[in-house]
Amino acid sequence: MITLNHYLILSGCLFAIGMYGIITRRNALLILLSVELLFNAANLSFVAYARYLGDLTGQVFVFFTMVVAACEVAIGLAVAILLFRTRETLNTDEINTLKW
Amino acid sequence: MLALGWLILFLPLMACLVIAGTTLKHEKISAWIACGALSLSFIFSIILFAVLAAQGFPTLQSTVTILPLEHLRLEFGVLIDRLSLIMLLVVTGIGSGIFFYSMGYMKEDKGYSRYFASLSLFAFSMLGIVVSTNFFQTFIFWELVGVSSYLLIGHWYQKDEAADAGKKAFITTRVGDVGFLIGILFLSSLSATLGKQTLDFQALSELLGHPAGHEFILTAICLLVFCGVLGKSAQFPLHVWLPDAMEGPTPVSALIHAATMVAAGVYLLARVYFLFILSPTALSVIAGIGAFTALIAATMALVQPDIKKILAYSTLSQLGYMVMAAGLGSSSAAMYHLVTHAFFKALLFLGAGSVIHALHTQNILEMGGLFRKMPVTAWTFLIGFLALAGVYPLSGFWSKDEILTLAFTVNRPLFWIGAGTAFLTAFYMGRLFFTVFLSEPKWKKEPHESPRVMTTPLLLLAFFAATGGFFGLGTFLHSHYDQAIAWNFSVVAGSLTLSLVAILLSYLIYALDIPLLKPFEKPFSPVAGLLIKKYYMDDLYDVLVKYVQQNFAGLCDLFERVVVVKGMVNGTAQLTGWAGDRLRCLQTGKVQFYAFAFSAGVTLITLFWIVLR
Repeated sequence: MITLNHYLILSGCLFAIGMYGIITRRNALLILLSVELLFNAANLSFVAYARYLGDLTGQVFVFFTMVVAACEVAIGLAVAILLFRTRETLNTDEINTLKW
Repeated sequence: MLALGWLILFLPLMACLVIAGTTLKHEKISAWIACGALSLSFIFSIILFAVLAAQGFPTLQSTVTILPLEHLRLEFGVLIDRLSLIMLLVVTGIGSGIFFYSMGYMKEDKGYSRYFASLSLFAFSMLGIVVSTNFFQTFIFWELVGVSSYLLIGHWYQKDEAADAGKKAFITTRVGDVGFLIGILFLSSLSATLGKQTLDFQALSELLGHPAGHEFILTAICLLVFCGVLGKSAQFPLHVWLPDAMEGPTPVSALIHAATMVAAGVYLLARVYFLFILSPTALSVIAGIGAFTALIAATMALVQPDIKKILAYSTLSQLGYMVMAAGLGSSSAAMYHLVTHAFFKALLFLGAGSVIHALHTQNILEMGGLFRKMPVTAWTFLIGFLALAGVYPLSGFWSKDEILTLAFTVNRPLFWIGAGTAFLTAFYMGRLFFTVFLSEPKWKKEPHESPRVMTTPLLLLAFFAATGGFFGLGTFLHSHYDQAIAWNFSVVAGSLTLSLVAILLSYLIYALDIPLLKPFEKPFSPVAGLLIKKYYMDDLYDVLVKYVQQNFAGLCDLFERVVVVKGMVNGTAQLTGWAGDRLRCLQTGKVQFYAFAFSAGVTLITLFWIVLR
């Protein structure tokens, strides 16, 4: 029997992996991928709760999140391409002008 | 009828603006505009008086609200009653005479137009006090009078003494005005506790009709308002500016520092007498200060060699009389003396101006023997002198003896001070008159009588100084406030004898040169030194300013520089800069660091939230 807790633990794991990826990876593309993992972790817990509570609102919300994620990926990739064109690198350690 | 009141008030202001705006270059026109405007005011005042006399002198008032506050309406208006009518006549009447006199006296002065503009401004300010309906308006015009007085004392600003005297007059009176302002604020809040917040004289006098309790605060208010009087009417200890103010042109001294402005304090006392009557403590303080000023000023006048300064000290002394009368419970006696004093003191100053105009010196020891050379000046001066000395039947006799009689019945010690002052007054005026007009001539250049434009005002003023006691002025004023003071024959005879003895003595000493004072010179030389040094009051103020005030100012300066500017203003900027410098290390520009900080923050907040639950 797969209970709500199993889903939530899986969701938590996904989130942790995504966060770990964002913090440790230096490649902008990989960071974007990790962000996708975070989205999916959230989506999973939404769906799990929707089923558990018998309320479809959570599932509807997931569709919205997916749309937002798609937009985010489009913008993120565009940023990545532009970055590569101007700086010829996607290493975030070298892209550090976002400061004083 | 009130339209006439407004017109009287604003005519001099218009004259001032027109002169300052358009005719500064055309001296003759400026003078005629100023004189014309004030003369018109005078004529309107007479008309107003005549019309209201037919109606039995009703109290009329019209006001304009200039600043409506939440609970208090600040108003500006014209109040016409017996008191302001008589004062309007005095200010515009004597003022017109002096304006015309100035045309002759100030001839060939560089600042001729400026002088007449300032004079008109002064007339406007003074009339503003006279017709004022409330404390707020009085205070505004009170300060305007101070400013115009400053301008006129410092008319010859190229002279250091004149510029300094102007500043001294302005600042000294300001000291008193601070108290005045605080008193007004107290009064406004007191009226709020009594039911209706107002500064209007009439409303206040009704409101204070039954002042249950509040004795202490009323006394405080009276004394604070009296502070303003101390400054403006030059009472001890703020009297020091008036003798110095004699640096101004002589007609200015006559108008401002003898007849009108210094009388503003006494006028204010009379105007708000409903307030002072509620506090016997304040009244006795006022009477004491008045008597003291009268006496010390008279003693200082004994030794002065400067003709204008003698008259200045005499003015101080007579103002002391008026203040004393008000303090003793009869503001109408004070007003009576104010009016007669305005006539004879203006006359004396203009006479002195005429002498100065002829000899170009102010030292009476360099004059002498002018009686034959300047007959009009001499005769009119004699009338002024006798009126001031209180010789029957001249105007000064009636008003002064009314005050003395009042003092005799109410407060015996003050009566003796007043009588002593009367003796001294007659003596120093005798010294002045006999030295200038009857002693051996000491001048080198032959003096001439002054032009007609100067002697005509002298004659007019002499007429009023002589007959001022016969117009029923006293009765007129008494019916405004209180009953007449019953004449006491022995007091009158006594004071008259004192005056005559003093005049005789001074005649023997200064006109006939009989050395009566010789045996006293030696033992009394320390006293004379004290008098010449003006009781060291000026030196005392010098020391106070130099050591106490300057050090305190230095301390405040230091506090501001170190604590306020360096500590608080610059300190804030430095702290912000320092904190920014430290905090900017957090902005590494590395995305991963931001992400880490963000997730760490969220984790911490979540943990915190869980633990708190």
